[in-house]
Amino acid sequence: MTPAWWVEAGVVILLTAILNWTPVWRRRNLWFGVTVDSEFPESQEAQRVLSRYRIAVVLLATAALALMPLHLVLIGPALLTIGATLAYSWARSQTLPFASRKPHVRSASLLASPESFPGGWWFASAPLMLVAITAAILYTRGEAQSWPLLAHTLLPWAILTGSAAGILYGSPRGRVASAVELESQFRRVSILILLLCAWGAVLVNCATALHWTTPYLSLILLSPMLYLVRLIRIRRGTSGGDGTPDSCWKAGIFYYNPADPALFVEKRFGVGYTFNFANRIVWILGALLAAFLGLMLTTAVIRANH
Amino acid sequence: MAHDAQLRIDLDDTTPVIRQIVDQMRTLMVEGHLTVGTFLPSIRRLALDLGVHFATVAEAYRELAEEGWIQISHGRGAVVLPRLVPAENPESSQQFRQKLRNLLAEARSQGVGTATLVRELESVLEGIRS
Repeated sequence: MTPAWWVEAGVVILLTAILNWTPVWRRRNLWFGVTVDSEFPESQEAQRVLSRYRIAVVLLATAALALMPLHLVLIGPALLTIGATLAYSWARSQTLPFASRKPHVRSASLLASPESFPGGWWFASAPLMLVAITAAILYTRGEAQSWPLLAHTLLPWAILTGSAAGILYGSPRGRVASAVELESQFRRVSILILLLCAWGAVLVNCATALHWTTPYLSLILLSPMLYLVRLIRIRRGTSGGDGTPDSCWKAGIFYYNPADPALFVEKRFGVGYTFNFANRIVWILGALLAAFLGLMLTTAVIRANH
Repeated sequence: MAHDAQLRIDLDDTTPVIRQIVDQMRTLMVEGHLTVGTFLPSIRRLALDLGVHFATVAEAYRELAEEGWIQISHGRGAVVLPRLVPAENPESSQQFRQKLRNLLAEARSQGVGTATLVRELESVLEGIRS
Protein backbone atom coordinates (compact mmCIF):
# COMPACT_ATOMS: atom_id res chain seq x y z
CA MET A 1 0.00 0.00 0.00
CA THR A 2 1.87 3.03 -1.30
CA PRO A 3 1.03 6.62 -0.26
CA ALA A 4 -0.46 7.13 -3.73
CA TRP A 5 -2.82 4.23 -3.06
CA TRP A 6 -4.01 5.82 0.16
CA VAL A 7 -4.58 9.13 -1.60
CA GLU A 8 -6.57 7.45 -4.34
CA ALA A 9 -8.54 5.42 -1.79
CA GLY A 10 -9.31 8.64 0.07
CA VAL A 11 -10.56 10.21 -3.17
CA VAL A 12 -12.85 7.23 -3.78
CA ILE A 13 -14.27 7.42 -0.25
CA LEU A 14 -14.79 11.19 -0.45
CA LEU A 15 -16.39 10.87 -3.88
CA THR A 16 -18.70 8.14 -2.57
CA ALA A 17 -19.86 10.39 0.26
CA ILE A 18 -20.50 13.30 -2.13
CA LEU A 19 -22.34 11.12 -4.65
CA ASN A 20 -24.40 9.65 -1.84
CA TRP A 21 -25.64 13.05 -0.62
CA THR A 22 -25.81 14.98 -3.90
CA PRO A 23 -29.36 13.86 -4.84
CA VAL A 24 -30.72 15.48 -1.66
CA TRP A 25 -28.92 18.79 -2.21
CA ARG A 26 -31.80 19.89 -4.36
CA ARG A 27 -34.73 22.25 -4.63
CA ARG A 28 -37.84 20.92 -2.94
CA ASN A 29 -39.59 20.34 -6.26
CA LEU A 30 -36.73 18.51 -7.96
CA TRP A 31 -36.01 14.79 -7.62
CA PHE A 32 -33.20 13.28 -9.63
CA GLY A 33 -33.41 16.14 -12.10
CA VAL A 34 -37.19 15.90 -12.61
CA THR A 35 -39.68 18.60 -11.62
CA VAL A 36 -42.11 16.95 -9.20
CA ASP A 37 -44.85 18.00 -6.79
CA SER A 38 -43.45 19.02 -3.41
CA GLU A 39 -44.86 15.98 -1.57
CA PHE A 40 -43.37 13.42 -3.98
CA PRO A 41 -39.83 13.22 -2.42
CA GLU A 42 -41.39 11.88 0.82
CA SER A 43 -43.31 9.16 -1.03
CA GLN A 44 -42.42 5.45 -1.09
CA GLU A 45 -41.60 5.51 -4.78
CA ALA A 46 -39.15 8.38 -4.36
CA GLN A 47 -37.41 6.83 -1.37
CA ARG A 48 -37.14 3.48 -3.19
CA VAL A 49 -35.42 5.18 -6.13
CA LEU A 50 -33.03 6.97 -3.75
CA SER A 51 -32.20 3.73 -1.89
CA ARG A 52 -31.42 1.87 -5.10
CA TYR A 53 -29.25 4.74 -6.33
CA ARG A 54 -27.30 4.75 -3.04
CA ILE A 55 -26.85 0.98 -3.11
CA ALA A 56 -25.45 1.31 -6.63
CA VAL A 57 -23.00 3.99 -5.47
CA VAL A 58 -21.76 1.85 -2.56
CA LEU A 59 -21.33 -1.21 -4.80
CA LEU A 60 -19.41 0.89 -7.34
CA ALA A 61 -17.18 2.27 -4.59
CA THR A 62 -16.45 -1.28 -3.37
CA ALA A 63 -15.57 -2.36 -6.91
CA ALA A 64 -13.41 0.75 -7.34
CA LEU A 65 -11.41 -0.04 -4.19
CA ALA A 66 -11.09 -3.70 -5.23
CA LEU A 67 -9.62 -2.68 -8.62
CA MET A 68 -7.01 -0.35 -7.19
CA PRO A 69 -4.34 -3.04 -6.59
CA LEU A 70 -4.18 -3.33 -10.39
CA HIS A 71 -2.27 0.00 -10.25
CA LEU A 72 -4.14 1.50 -13.18
CA VAL A 73 -4.05 5.24 -12.63
CA LEU A 74 -7.37 6.70 -11.46
CA ILE A 75 -9.29 3.53 -12.40
CA GLY A 76 -11.18 3.72 -9.09
CA PRO A 77 -12.45 7.31 -9.32
CA ALA A 78 -13.20 6.90 -13.03
CA LEU A 79 -15.28 3.75 -12.46
CA LEU A 80 -17.14 5.40 -9.60
CA THR A 81 -17.88 8.60 -11.52
CA ILE A 82 -19.04 6.92 -14.70
CA GLY A 83 -21.04 4.30 -12.82
CA ALA A 84 -22.73 6.89 -10.58
CA THR A 85 -23.66 8.95 -13.63
CA LEU A 86 -25.39 5.91 -15.13
CA ALA A 87 -27.08 5.17 -11.79
CA TYR A 88 -28.33 8.78 -11.62
CA SER A 89 -29.62 8.54 -15.15
CA TRP A 90 -31.48 5.35 -14.27
CA ALA A 91 -32.96 6.99 -11.15
CA ARG A 92 -34.14 9.89 -13.30
CA SER A 93 -35.86 7.56 -15.73
CA GLN A 94 -37.70 5.94 -12.77
CA THR A 95 -38.82 9.40 -11.57
CA LEU A 96 -40.02 10.77 -14.93
CA PRO A 97 -43.46 9.05 -14.75
CA PHE A 98 -44.09 11.10 -11.58
CA ALA A 99 -43.17 14.45 -13.15
CA SER A 100 -45.35 17.38 -12.13
CA ARG A 101 -48.30 18.16 -14.41
CA LYS A 102 -48.51 21.78 -13.31
CA PRO A 103 -48.45 24.42 -16.05
CA HIS A 104 -45.06 25.73 -17.07
CA VAL A 105 -45.32 29.33 -15.93
CA ARG A 106 -42.27 31.56 -15.91
CA SER A 107 -42.10 34.95 -14.32
CA ALA A 108 -39.77 37.92 -14.52
CA SER A 109 -39.68 41.16 -12.62
CA LEU A 110 -39.78 44.35 -14.65
CA LEU A 111 -38.49 46.47 -11.79
CA ALA A 112 -35.60 44.44 -10.36
CA SER A 113 -32.48 46.50 -9.75
CA PRO A 114 -29.47 45.81 -11.97
CA GLU A 115 -27.00 43.41 -10.37
CA SER A 116 -23.26 43.80 -9.99
CA PHE A 117 -20.34 41.92 -8.48
CA PRO A 118 -20.22 41.84 -4.66
CA GLY A 119 -17.77 44.60 -3.89
CA GLY A 120 -18.08 45.88 -7.45
CA TRP A 121 -15.72 45.46 -10.39
CA TRP A 122 -12.89 46.60 -8.12
CA PHE A 123 -13.13 43.44 -5.99
CA ALA A 124 -13.18 41.21 -9.06
CA SER A 125 -10.24 42.84 -10.82
CA ALA A 126 -8.04 43.74 -7.81
CA PRO A 127 -6.16 40.41 -8.01
CA LEU A 128 -4.67 41.66 -11.27
CA MET A 129 -3.19 44.62 -9.40
CA LEU A 130 -1.80 42.19 -6.89
CA VAL A 131 -0.10 40.25 -9.67
CA ALA A 132 1.32 43.49 -11.10
CA ILE A 133 2.65 44.57 -7.68
CA THR A 134 4.21 41.13 -7.15
CA ALA A 135 5.84 41.30 -10.58
CA ALA A 136 7.26 44.72 -9.70
CA ILE A 137 8.67 43.45 -6.40
CA LEU A 138 10.26 40.46 -8.15
CA TYR A 139 11.79 42.79 -10.72
CA THR A 140 13.31 45.04 -8.05
CA ARG A 141 14.72 41.94 -6.39
CA GLY A 142 16.25 40.77 -9.65
CA GLU A 143 13.93 37.73 -9.74
CA ALA A 144 12.15 38.47 -13.01
CA GLN A 145 12.66 34.81 -13.98
CA SER A 146 9.74 34.06 -11.62
CA TRP A 147 7.34 36.01 -13.83
CA PRO A 148 6.17 32.86 -15.71
CA LEU A 149 4.90 31.51 -12.36
CA LEU A 150 2.82 34.66 -11.98
CA ALA A 151 1.55 34.36 -15.54
CA HIS A 152 0.14 30.91 -14.69
CA THR A 153 -1.98 32.61 -12.04
CA LEU A 154 -3.84 34.56 -14.67
CA LEU A 155 -5.53 31.52 -16.19
CA PRO A 156 -7.37 30.37 -13.03
CA TRP A 157 -8.22 34.02 -12.24
CA ALA A 158 -9.65 34.47 -15.73
CA ILE A 159 -11.65 31.24 -15.60
CA LEU A 160 -13.08 31.87 -12.12
CA THR A 161 -13.83 35.57 -12.61
CA GLY A 162 -15.15 34.90 -16.10
CA SER A 163 -17.48 32.25 -14.71
CA ALA A 164 -18.71 34.70 -12.07
CA ALA A 165 -19.37 37.26 -14.81
CA GLY A 166 -21.09 34.58 -16.87
CA ILE A 167 -23.48 33.83 -14.01
CA LEU A 168 -24.08 37.53 -13.35
CA TYR A 169 -24.84 38.48 -16.94
CA GLY A 170 -25.71 35.18 -18.59
CA SER A 171 -28.07 33.35 -16.25
CA PRO A 172 -31.73 34.00 -15.37
CA ARG A 173 -32.49 35.89 -12.16
CA GLY A 174 -35.34 33.60 -11.16
CA ARG A 175 -37.98 32.15 -13.46
CA VAL A 176 -40.32 30.85 -10.78
CA ALA A 177 -42.12 33.54 -8.79
CA SER A 178 -42.15 31.61 -5.49
CA ALA A 179 -38.37 31.14 -5.54
CA VAL A 180 -37.10 34.54 -6.68
CA GLU A 181 -35.68 35.75 -3.34
CA LEU A 182 -33.83 32.50 -2.57
CA GLU A 183 -32.59 32.25 -6.15
CA SER A 184 -31.21 35.74 -5.84
CA GLN A 185 -29.33 34.71 -2.69
CA PHE A 186 -28.08 31.57 -4.46
CA ARG A 187 -26.70 33.67 -7.33
CA ARG A 188 -24.95 36.13 -5.01
CA VAL A 189 -23.33 33.39 -2.92
CA SER A 190 -22.27 31.42 -6.03
CA ILE A 191 -20.64 34.52 -7.52
CA LEU A 192 -18.96 35.30 -4.20
CA ILE A 193 -17.52 31.77 -3.94
CA LEU A 194 -16.02 32.05 -7.42
CA LEU A 195 -14.49 35.46 -6.70
CA LEU A 196 -13.06 34.24 -3.38
CA CYS A 197 -11.51 31.24 -5.16
CA ALA A 198 -9.98 33.63 -7.72
CA TRP A 199 -8.56 35.76 -4.91
CA GLY A 200 -7.26 32.67 -3.15
CA ALA A 201 -5.50 31.32 -6.24
CA VAL A 202 -3.80 34.67 -6.89
CA LEU A 203 -2.79 35.20 -3.25
CA VAL A 204 -1.26 31.72 -2.94
CA ASN A 205 0.64 32.07 -6.23
CA CYS A 206 1.92 35.56 -5.43
CA ALA A 207 3.03 34.50 -1.95
CA THR A 208 4.80 31.46 -3.41
CA ALA A 209 6.57 33.63 -6.01
CA LEU A 210 7.71 35.98 -3.23
CA HIS A 211 8.77 33.02 -1.06
CA TRP A 212 6.31 34.05 1.64
CA THR A 213 5.37 30.63 2.87
CA THR A 214 3.14 30.23 5.89
CA PRO A 215 0.87 27.34 6.94
CA TYR A 216 -2.04 29.80 7.09
CA LEU A 217 -1.82 30.47 3.37
CA SER A 218 -3.76 27.33 2.44
CA LEU A 219 -6.57 28.43 4.77
CA ILE A 220 -7.36 31.20 2.29
CA LEU A 221 -8.63 28.56 -0.10
CA LEU A 222 -10.88 27.10 2.62
CA SER A 223 -13.00 30.24 3.07
CA PRO A 224 -15.12 29.55 -0.05
CA MET A 225 -15.98 26.15 1.47
CA LEU A 226 -17.86 27.89 4.29
CA TYR A 227 -20.08 29.57 1.74
CA LEU A 228 -20.62 26.23 0.01
CA VAL A 229 -22.51 25.02 3.10
CA ARG A 230 -24.70 28.14 2.89
CA LEU A 231 -25.29 27.46 -0.78
CA ILE A 232 -26.55 23.95 -0.02
CA ARG A 233 -28.89 25.31 2.67
CA ILE A 234 -30.35 27.90 0.30
CA ARG A 235 -30.84 25.24 -2.33
CA ARG A 236 -32.67 22.89 0.03
CA GLY A 237 -34.93 25.69 1.19
CA THR A 238 -35.98 26.70 -2.33
CA SER A 239 -39.36 25.52 -3.51
CA GLY A 240 -40.70 25.43 -7.05
CA GLY A 241 -38.97 24.25 -10.19
CA ASP A 242 -36.10 26.11 -11.83
CA GLY A 243 -37.99 27.25 -14.93
CA THR A 244 -36.16 24.91 -17.32
CA PRO A 245 -37.95 22.07 -19.18
CA ASP A 246 -37.27 18.55 -17.89
CA SER A 247 -36.87 17.34 -21.47
CA CYS A 248 -33.84 19.60 -21.99
CA TRP A 249 -31.85 17.91 -19.22
CA LYS A 250 -29.95 15.06 -20.89
CA ALA A 251 -29.45 12.21 -18.40
CA GLY A 252 -30.54 14.77 -15.81
CA ILE A 253 -27.05 16.31 -15.86
CA PHE A 254 -26.39 18.17 -19.13
CA TYR A 255 -28.66 21.07 -20.11
CA TYR A 256 -29.24 21.51 -23.83
CA ASN A 257 -31.93 24.02 -24.87
CA PRO A 258 -31.48 25.98 -28.12
CA ALA A 259 -34.58 28.06 -27.29
CA ASP A 260 -33.04 29.33 -24.04
CA PRO A 261 -30.62 32.27 -24.38
CA ALA A 262 -29.05 31.56 -20.97
CA LEU A 263 -25.34 30.77 -20.86
CA PHE A 264 -25.53 29.30 -17.33
CA VAL A 265 -28.42 27.66 -15.50
CA GLU A 266 -28.65 26.18 -12.03
CA LYS A 267 -27.47 22.58 -11.83
CA ARG A 268 -29.96 19.85 -11.13
CA PHE A 269 -27.24 17.38 -10.02
CA GLY A 270 -24.93 18.90 -7.45
CA VAL A 271 -24.81 22.52 -6.35
CA GLY A 272 -23.90 25.47 -8.51
CA TYR A 273 -24.31 26.30 -12.16
CA THR A 274 -23.82 24.46 -15.40
CA PHE A 275 -23.63 25.48 -19.04
CA ASN A 276 -26.46 25.56 -21.54
CA PHE A 277 -24.61 23.41 -24.07
CA ALA A 278 -26.87 24.63 -26.86
CA ASN A 279 -25.41 28.12 -26.52
CA ARG A 280 -22.69 28.71 -29.13
CA ILE A 281 -20.69 30.89 -26.76
CA VAL A 282 -20.04 27.84 -24.56
CA TRP A 283 -18.36 26.01 -27.45
CA ILE A 284 -16.41 29.09 -28.54
CA LEU A 285 -15.06 29.60 -25.01
CA GLY A 286 -14.30 25.89 -24.73
CA ALA A 287 -12.37 25.97 -28.01
CA LEU A 288 -10.41 29.04 -26.90
CA LEU A 289 -9.54 27.41 -23.59
CA ALA A 290 -8.48 24.19 -25.31
CA ALA A 291 -6.34 26.17 -27.76
CA PHE A 292 -4.71 28.10 -24.93
CA LEU A 293 -3.99 24.97 -22.91
CA GLY A 294 -2.64 23.26 -26.03
CA LEU A 295 -0.33 26.20 -26.62
CA MET A 296 0.92 26.15 -23.04
CA LEU A 297 1.52 22.40 -23.22
CA THR A 298 3.37 22.69 -26.52
CA THR A 299 5.52 25.51 -25.14
CA ALA A 300 6.36 23.46 -22.06
CA VAL A 301 7.29 20.41 -24.15
CA ILE A 302 9.51 22.50 -26.46
CA ARG A 303 11.26 24.10 -23.45
CA ALA A 304 11.77 20.69 -21.83
CA ASN A 305 13.34 19.30 -25.02
CA HIS A 306 15.71 22.22 -25.29
CA MET B 1 -46.86 49.25 -6.78
CA ALA B 2 -43.43 47.75 -7.54
CA HIS B 3 -44.19 44.25 -6.30
CA ASP B 4 -46.94 43.82 -8.88
CA ALA B 5 -44.73 44.55 -11.91
CA GLN B 6 -44.20 40.89 -12.77
CA LEU B 7 -44.59 39.24 -16.14
CA ARG B 8 -45.98 35.69 -16.06
CA ILE B 9 -45.61 33.64 -19.22
CA ASP B 10 -47.46 30.34 -19.58
CA LEU B 11 -45.54 28.21 -22.07
CA ASP B 12 -48.43 25.75 -22.34
CA ASP B 13 -50.89 28.49 -23.31
CA THR B 14 -51.99 28.60 -26.96
CA THR B 15 -51.48 32.37 -26.88
CA PRO B 16 -48.08 33.17 -28.39
CA VAL B 17 -45.45 34.32 -25.90
CA ILE B 18 -45.04 37.66 -27.66
CA ARG B 19 -48.76 38.36 -27.28
CA GLN B 20 -48.61 37.45 -23.57
CA ILE B 21 -45.69 39.85 -23.04
CA VAL B 22 -47.33 42.73 -24.91
CA ASP B 23 -50.74 42.27 -23.27
CA GLN B 24 -49.33 42.00 -19.74
CA MET B 25 -47.00 44.97 -20.09
CA ARG B 26 -49.81 47.08 -21.53
CA THR B 27 -52.01 46.05 -18.60
CA LEU B 28 -49.31 46.95 -16.09
CA MET B 29 -48.90 50.39 -17.66
CA VAL B 30 -52.64 51.06 -17.80
CA GLU B 31 -53.05 50.01 -14.17
CA GLY B 32 -50.17 52.26 -13.12
CA HIS B 33 -47.75 49.54 -11.94
CA LEU B 34 -45.27 50.78 -14.52
CA THR B 35 -45.19 54.55 -14.26
CA VAL B 36 -43.93 57.10 -16.78
CA GLY B 37 -40.14 57.27 -16.73
CA THR B 38 -39.67 53.73 -15.44
CA PHE B 39 -36.77 51.94 -17.07
CA LEU B 40 -37.66 48.45 -18.23
CA PRO B 41 -35.11 45.62 -18.38
CA SER B 42 -33.02 45.36 -21.53
CA ILE B 43 -34.22 42.97 -24.23
CA ARG B 44 -31.34 40.62 -23.44
CA ARG B 45 -32.01 40.60 -19.70
CA LEU B 46 -35.78 40.05 -20.04
CA ALA B 47 -35.23 37.26 -22.59
CA LEU B 48 -32.77 35.59 -20.19
CA ASP B 49 -35.13 35.87 -17.24
CA LEU B 50 -38.09 34.45 -19.17
CA GLY B 51 -36.06 31.87 -21.10
CA VAL B 52 -37.37 32.98 -24.49
CA HIS B 53 -35.57 34.06 -27.66
CA PHE B 54 -34.18 37.60 -27.83
CA ALA B 55 -36.22 38.22 -30.99
CA THR B 56 -39.46 37.46 -29.12
CA VAL B 57 -38.83 40.15 -26.51
CA ALA B 58 -37.48 42.54 -29.16
CA GLU B 59 -40.67 42.16 -31.18
CA ALA B 60 -42.81 42.72 -28.07
CA TYR B 61 -40.89 45.91 -27.23
CA ARG B 62 -41.19 47.08 -30.85
CA GLU B 63 -44.95 46.57 -30.81
CA LEU B 64 -45.32 48.51 -27.56
CA ALA B 65 -43.10 51.27 -28.97
CA GLU B 66 -45.30 51.50 -32.08
CA GLU B 67 -48.36 51.86 -29.83
CA GLY B 68 -46.57 54.72 -28.08
CA TRP B 69 -46.16 53.08 -24.70
CA ILE B 70 -42.37 52.88 -24.50
CA GLN B 71 -39.24 54.22 -26.13
CA ILE B 72 -36.47 51.73 -26.84
CA SER B 73 -32.95 53.00 -26.21
CA HIS B 74 -30.06 50.83 -27.32
CA GLY B 75 -27.97 49.55 -24.45
CA ARG B 76 -30.38 50.84 -21.78
CA GLY B 77 -33.50 48.80 -22.40
CA ALA B 78 -36.66 50.83 -22.72
CA VAL B 79 -38.43 53.62 -20.85
CA VAL B 80 -42.14 54.05 -20.25
CA LEU B 81 -43.50 57.13 -22.02
CA PRO B 82 -46.45 59.38 -21.22
CA ARG B 83 -49.05 58.29 -23.72
CA LEU B 84 -51.94 60.33 -25.02
CA VAL B 85 -55.11 58.28 -24.88
CA PRO B 86 -56.83 58.36 -28.27
CA ALA B 87 -60.46 59.50 -28.43
CA GLU B 88 -63.06 56.78 -28.04
CA ASN B 89 -64.52 55.59 -31.33
CA PRO B 90 -67.36 53.17 -32.20
CA GLU B 91 -65.06 50.70 -33.99
CA SER B 92 -62.68 50.18 -31.06
CA SER B 93 -65.65 49.97 -28.67
CA GLN B 94 -67.22 47.27 -30.87
CA GLN B 95 -63.94 45.31 -31.01
CA PHE B 96 -63.57 45.54 -27.24
CA ARG B 97 -67.18 44.44 -26.65
CA GLN B 98 -66.63 41.33 -28.81
CA LYS B 99 -63.37 40.46 -27.00
CA LEU B 100 -65.08 40.91 -23.65
CA ARG B 101 -67.99 38.66 -24.72
CA ASN B 102 -65.51 35.97 -25.81
CA LEU B 103 -63.55 36.22 -22.57
CA LEU B 104 -66.64 36.07 -20.39
CA ALA B 105 -68.00 33.10 -22.34
CA GLU B 106 -64.70 31.27 -21.84
CA ALA B 107 -64.75 32.05 -18.12
CA ARG B 108 -68.36 30.86 -17.75
CA SER B 109 -67.60 27.66 -19.66
CA GLN B 110 -64.81 26.94 -17.16
CA GLY B 111 -67.20 27.34 -14.23
CA VAL B 112 -66.50 30.91 -13.10
CA GLY B 113 -69.69 32.23 -11.50
CA THR B 114 -71.45 35.45 -12.54
CA ALA B 115 -70.92 37.02 -9.12
CA THR B 116 -67.21 36.28 -9.33
CA LEU B 117 -67.03 37.81 -12.80
CA VAL B 118 -68.75 40.99 -11.63
CA ARG B 119 -66.49 41.22 -8.59
CA GLU B 120 -63.33 40.73 -10.65
CA LEU B 121 -64.39 43.29 -13.26
CA GLU B 122 -65.13 45.84 -10.55
CA SER B 123 -61.78 45.18 -8.91
CA VAL B 124 -59.88 45.61 -12.17
CA LEU B 125 -61.75 48.84 -12.99
CA GLU B 126 -60.99 50.14 -9.52
CA GLY B 127 -57.30 49.44 -10.09
CA ILE B 128 -57.31 51.36 -13.36
CA ARG B 129 -59.10 54.35 -11.89
CA SER B 130 -56.78 54.65 -8.85
